[in-house]
This record gives sequence, structure tokens and C-alpha cells, in this order.
Amino acid sequence: MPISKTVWNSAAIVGVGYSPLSRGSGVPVLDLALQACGGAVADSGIEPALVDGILSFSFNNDSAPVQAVATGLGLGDLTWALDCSLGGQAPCYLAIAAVQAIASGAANAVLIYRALNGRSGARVGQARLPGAAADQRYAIGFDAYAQNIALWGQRYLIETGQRCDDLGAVPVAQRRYAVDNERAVLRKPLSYEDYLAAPMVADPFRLVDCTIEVDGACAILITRADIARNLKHPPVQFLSGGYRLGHRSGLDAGDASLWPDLTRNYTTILADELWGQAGIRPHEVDSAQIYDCFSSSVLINIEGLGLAERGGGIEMIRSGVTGRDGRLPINTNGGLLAEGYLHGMNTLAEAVLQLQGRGEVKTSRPPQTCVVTSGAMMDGSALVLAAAR
Amino acid sequence: MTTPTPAEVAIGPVLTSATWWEATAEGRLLLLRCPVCSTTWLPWMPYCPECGPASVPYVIESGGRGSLYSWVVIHYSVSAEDKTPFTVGSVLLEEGAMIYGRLTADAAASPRADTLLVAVFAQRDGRTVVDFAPR
Repeated sequence: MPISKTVWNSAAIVGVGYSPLSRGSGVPVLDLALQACGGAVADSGIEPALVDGILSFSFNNDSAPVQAVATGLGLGDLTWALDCSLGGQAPCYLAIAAVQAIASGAANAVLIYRALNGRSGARVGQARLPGAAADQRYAIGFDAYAQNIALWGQRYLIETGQRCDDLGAVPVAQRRYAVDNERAVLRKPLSYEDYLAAPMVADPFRLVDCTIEVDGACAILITRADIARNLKHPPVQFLSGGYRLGHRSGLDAGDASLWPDLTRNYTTILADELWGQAGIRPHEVDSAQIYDCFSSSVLINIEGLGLAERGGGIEMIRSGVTGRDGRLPINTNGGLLAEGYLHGMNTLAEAVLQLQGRGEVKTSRPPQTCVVTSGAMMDGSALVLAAAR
Repeated sequence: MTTPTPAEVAIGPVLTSATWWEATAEGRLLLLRCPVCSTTWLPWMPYCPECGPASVPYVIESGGRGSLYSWVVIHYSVSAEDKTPFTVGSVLLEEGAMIYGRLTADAAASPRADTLLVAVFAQRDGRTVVDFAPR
């Protein structure tokens, strides 16, 4: 059963914070987390004493715990705190959990952050995805995240009658945004010729089909709707949202061997509920921030949500629809492919900034609504957000 | 057949992946099958992904015949850096289970969706693993 409208109306997003994104922060992860979380609190203008909840996610213990962040920020007693071991499926899911906490009275204002030295410290791209199905994969050298997603990308290309080189539409389009995004780690223009010349990593993926690992942190602040109305920026509203851990989702993050269809992920399962409760149809939403650890994830996500027809994602992106003058700007910060891999926390933060008219990159029509996704595979989450009315 | 007690259901059969590897070393590819719904699966786990603890799976030996569902050509590997590139396929076995395995040089030369493959056993890093060759 979908989460009720009353719950969604009880809270709003009011602040965003980032640390600088880099290939070598030179500081502990806690410092990055404090920069982002302190930034989000200051950005919102909320009285810090009102912050009584913190939520975070990490992978293989690569973050700083919420206890440390609460202490470092000098917060008072927290009533709600949670560290989750999750990947890119988490950001929208944690925002939903924060809204539920606020709606139930368990918290008044909740910080959500992701912080990691993802480039200079432990790199997810080279990390093992531990779990019960892992020993069979590692024995054959099938051992990296890019390789798992490549199986999805390849099957998608097979079933939609497209070629590996066609994936280039995604990184080329997103880089156009990143060029104008001060935060992005990759800002050099990327032509289609540059794309074709990039080295293969996990065919069908070239290096530029893969997210760029970074050191950095990003946070958002969610608070009660009545508090949100009196802060610095127009509050971003929740229209709908959901999380799905699909049936037969496997034994670990790298195990898709029980999943019936590598061309469809959690977005397919979630789409009807998401749009139904938001009260808008896919063709009516006017921006999207889509989880893009790899290029094909954008395509499977937007087609799963009904933003593009099955097999039509690449052509839609090529046609300019998702560019800054198009009907549906997508990944306006350059995405995880170019801004940097904060595991989708920055994907959600970009949605907030755009809906508040504060994006680094301005689109020709400021968006009033945005669909955000978190995740690429068997489980994931999504939100439909709206600018203040 | 008597109805199992809740405790018996909760414990389930003792299946460890060691069983699977021991069989592989003997040139046998084992799968699990559910007696209730006939779902056949890997990876090794004690219950059916459709029925859960309501049924007790049994072990079957695969004929090793399957078709290529998807693949990735690995140019950078964390654990097999010196041996790249090589190709890992996702192979749908005739019994219904999906398995990951390296494609032999012949199978990897120009992989195509739904190519018919057969399991072959290879020694790699002190283990017997399942590769797939054309058939």
C-alpha cells in the first residue's frame, strides 16, 4: 500500500550541503561529513537545536558514523539515528524514512548524508561485493561492480537492437551539463569521437560509461512542513515515493542470477505507484535526476519509469529532449558519470537545488517537478518532488 | 509423510556451497530444484526462491547445456589482472538456472545472444570451475 498523502505533506526538504569533490581530499571522512552536514544546516537557516535525527549509508564501512557527525556538529540529544549498509539504492529510500519519522513524531528535523574518500581510500570499483553468492563469481575473475552492471547493459542492447557504441549518447549528453558545473570533477567537453576513443573497461562499457570515483560528501536536511515554511529557501515538497526490493533479488549486491530480466529493474515495479500517487503522468514531469553509476542504468531507469519508450532512451537523449533546452532535462549536474560518485546522494541534492532555482546549471525552463531515482538493479527507490507552491 | 514441525522447517536442509565445489571438482555441475514448483536455481541456498521454507529442495545434476543470456568482456579485473581480456557469460541452463561462467576462447570470439553452449570444467587458481564452450 502506498505511503499516505498525509505523510508526504508532513515534511519538506529545506537544505543542501556539499564538501568539495576531489580525487584526494587529504582529510578524514568525518571532516567531509561535517562539512556537508554543517553546510546543509546552515544552508537551510534552521535553528541547529531543532536537528534531532541523522541518517546515513555506507558501503564496506567507508563512511563516518552518525554518532560522530552528531558529536562533531555539537547537536543536542538525538531522538532518531540510523547507519545503513547500503549502496546507491539508499538516498531516496532514506529520505522516505526521514519523512516517515517526521510524520510519526519521532523527529523534527533529519539530516541525511553520504561521505567517503571514494577515490583516495577504499574504491568501490575495485571492492568485492561480499555475500553468499560471491565465491562462485570470484573464482572466475568476475569481481567488480562495472562487470555486474555490464551484463544488464549488454542484455538491454541485445533486446532493444542497439549497439555498444550507442551507449555513448548518455555520457556525451551529461558531460555538456558538467562543463558548466563548478562542483563536477570531469568538466572537459566530451565529444562522441572522444567517447569512441575511450578505453574499454567492461565491454560494453568504456571508461566514460562508468561513474568517476571521488572523495567528498553531500547532505540534505528534511524537516516538518510547518518549520520548513519559515526558513531561507522555498521548501521542496514530496508528491510520492517508494522503495522496492524486487522478488528474487539475490543473495548479495553482485548476484543477479535469480533476477528474471536484466533489462528491467526496480523502476518497472515502482512506476505505477509512483506516478499514481504523485498525480502526474511520466510525460508531465519536467525534470529527472536519474541514478547513473553506469550509462545503461540511465536507460533502464528512464524506460522503467515510462519517461522513454522501451528501447527509446538513447534516441530521446540524442534528440536533445534531456538537454538544458529540452522538455525533460536529465542529470543536470553531469550525473555520477561526471560530477562524481557520491552514490546518488548528489543526484537527490541536485533535484532539490534545481527545484529551488539554485542549480549550478540553469535549464531554459525552471522545473516545477522532478523524478529522482536511487539504484540500478534489483532494489532501489524513487521520489517525485515538486517546487514550493 | 508427516508435516514437519516449525523447528524442522526453520532449520531446513544443510546445504553448503562446499557441496557444490566438491561436485565441480569431479566434473559434475549441481543445481537445486524445488519439489513443489520445480524452480531450479543457483546460487547455492537452502530454500526455493519461490516457495521459501515451505518446501525442501533436492540436488540435481545439470546436463551442462545452456544458452548465452548476456556477457561482459573484462578488460580490467581486480583478482585476475594479468589474464585480461576474458569474457564472462550469464548462461541460462536448460534446467532453468542461470549461472555465471567464463566463455572459452571459441565461445568468446564473437559472442551472440542465445548461442548454444555447453559446460566444460577447467582448473583455475587451484579450483575446478565451470566454463562454457560452443556446442
